[in-house]
Amino acid sequence: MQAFGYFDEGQAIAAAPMMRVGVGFGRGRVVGMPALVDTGSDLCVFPASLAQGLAPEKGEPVVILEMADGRTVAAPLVYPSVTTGNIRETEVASAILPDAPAILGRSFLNRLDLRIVATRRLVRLQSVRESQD
Amino acid sequence: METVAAKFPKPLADEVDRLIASGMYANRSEVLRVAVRALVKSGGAGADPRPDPPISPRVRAFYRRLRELAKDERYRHRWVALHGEEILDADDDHDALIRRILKREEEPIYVGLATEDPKPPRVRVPSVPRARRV
Repeated sequence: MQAFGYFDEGQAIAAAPMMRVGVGFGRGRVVGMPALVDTGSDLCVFPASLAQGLAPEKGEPVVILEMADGRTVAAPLVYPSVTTGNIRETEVASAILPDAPAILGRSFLNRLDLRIVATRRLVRLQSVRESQD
Repeated sequence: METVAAKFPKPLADEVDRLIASGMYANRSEVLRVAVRALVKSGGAGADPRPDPPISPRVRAFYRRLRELAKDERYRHRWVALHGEEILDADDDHDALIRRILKREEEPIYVGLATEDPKPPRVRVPSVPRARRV
């Protein structure tokens, strides 16, 4: 099982590796969105606007997020399923944050093999079992 | 340069002298200049540039409950799932507990470690540039 992403030029100085993901908070409660592939983030982050009304409150009630500039923010921690391509991972630790871009952090990426070849604009996720075969 | 006189507790002065003896700084004035420069740069935040953000009364009540549960042999240093005051489940394995509570109907279900000083986990998410405080 694998999934392919893309590089988004966006407004930033350098293009960013992205994946299209579906975030599920229960049966029939799935939201699709593009997410930044970020090995520097401990957790996945999803914007509150998209998760609104979907995220059941189950898990740690709050987690302290430390930003690059030293700011800290309190956010609820939830455990949705995350689907990309034909890969589906359940109980992925994720923070819900207002005004935040969607981020695929290590709580998701560490379960998979990640390959980024920037010069070829290649982003590929593969299930560990398949890549070991 | 201006001269500023300052008084220090003896242990702190000894620490300053240790830094000088280690060769990192030439004298006490240099130590003070570096320390004050760092303090001014941090906006006066001092040694803790990342103070905890405000936490809601509901979450503070949850941590109070975890402190109480830490006194109980059955829950001390274990992960506990609470629905209000009710203890729904407990486990030494955090992930196993999460998997079980996700199948339950009750909401909210809060999970935390029953210790004498429970704190929210801290995680690094450096890629969030525009997040605002909640």
